[in-house]
Amino acid sequence: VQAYLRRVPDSFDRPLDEAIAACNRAFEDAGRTVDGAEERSRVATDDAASLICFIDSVETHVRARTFHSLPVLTWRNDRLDRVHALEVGPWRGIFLVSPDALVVIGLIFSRHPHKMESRLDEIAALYRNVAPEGFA
Amino acid sequence: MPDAPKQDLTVNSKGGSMTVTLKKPLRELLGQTNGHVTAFSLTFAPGKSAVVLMGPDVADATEVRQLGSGAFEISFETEAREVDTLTAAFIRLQIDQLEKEKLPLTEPQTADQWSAEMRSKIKPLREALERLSPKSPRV
Repeated sequence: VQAYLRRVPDSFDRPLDEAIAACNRAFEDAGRTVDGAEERSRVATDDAASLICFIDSVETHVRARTFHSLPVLTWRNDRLDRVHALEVGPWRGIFLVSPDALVVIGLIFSRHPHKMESRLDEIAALYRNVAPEGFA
Repeated sequence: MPDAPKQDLTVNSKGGSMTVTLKKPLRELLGQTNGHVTAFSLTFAPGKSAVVLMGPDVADATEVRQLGSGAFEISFETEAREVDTLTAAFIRLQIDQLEKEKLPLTEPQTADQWSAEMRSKIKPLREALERLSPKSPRV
């Protein structure tokens, strides 16, 4: 089976790892205090279940190579060609399918809607990679 | 599988062009044409091509991908997701860097490799969910 999925470490892998860690912390916090523990537990359960479902859905789409069937992204009526969104509960992954459909790249993982300051951090991280020598 | 059976159509060739008569069942499938249809070709092998016709309602939302030698997929986008300005700009910056081969990427993975990597990361979450499941006896 040909390897198919690649990801951007700063904007896909790191936020995904942070989301997993946040869900783990939410379970711990939910059980720590009495007031509101039930509601926090419910939110933590929903988020964690959605996150696991998201991860399982990525596996399904990698196996079947069907990322192109996911909803395409648009911005102000402009279509972002070959860029598709996988949304499960509050979680959203943005994937770019190569023109020959042989590779899919996980560009962004985030809680939807995304916090602007997080995206600015990602842009700063990307800029560090692309800045010319002497400006990084 | 096509939803209309293969049919032989009558053609009239004149000069370098050709006129094909589509009878009612196929004609109706093209929908409102306003005198125009969109055509594109799929080349399966040298000298082995097909031509696909689409009405305007479908053509703008249709995407064609080559899946391999002699294999294509034609898909119809039924929905879209609007993104905010910052996310759109970030995606375009990423694609620009990708085209310049400057975007850092992980090594390619198969579905099994992705699953194996994620399994250990989400093990505590799965266990926590199982503990909270109403079907599971609570400890």
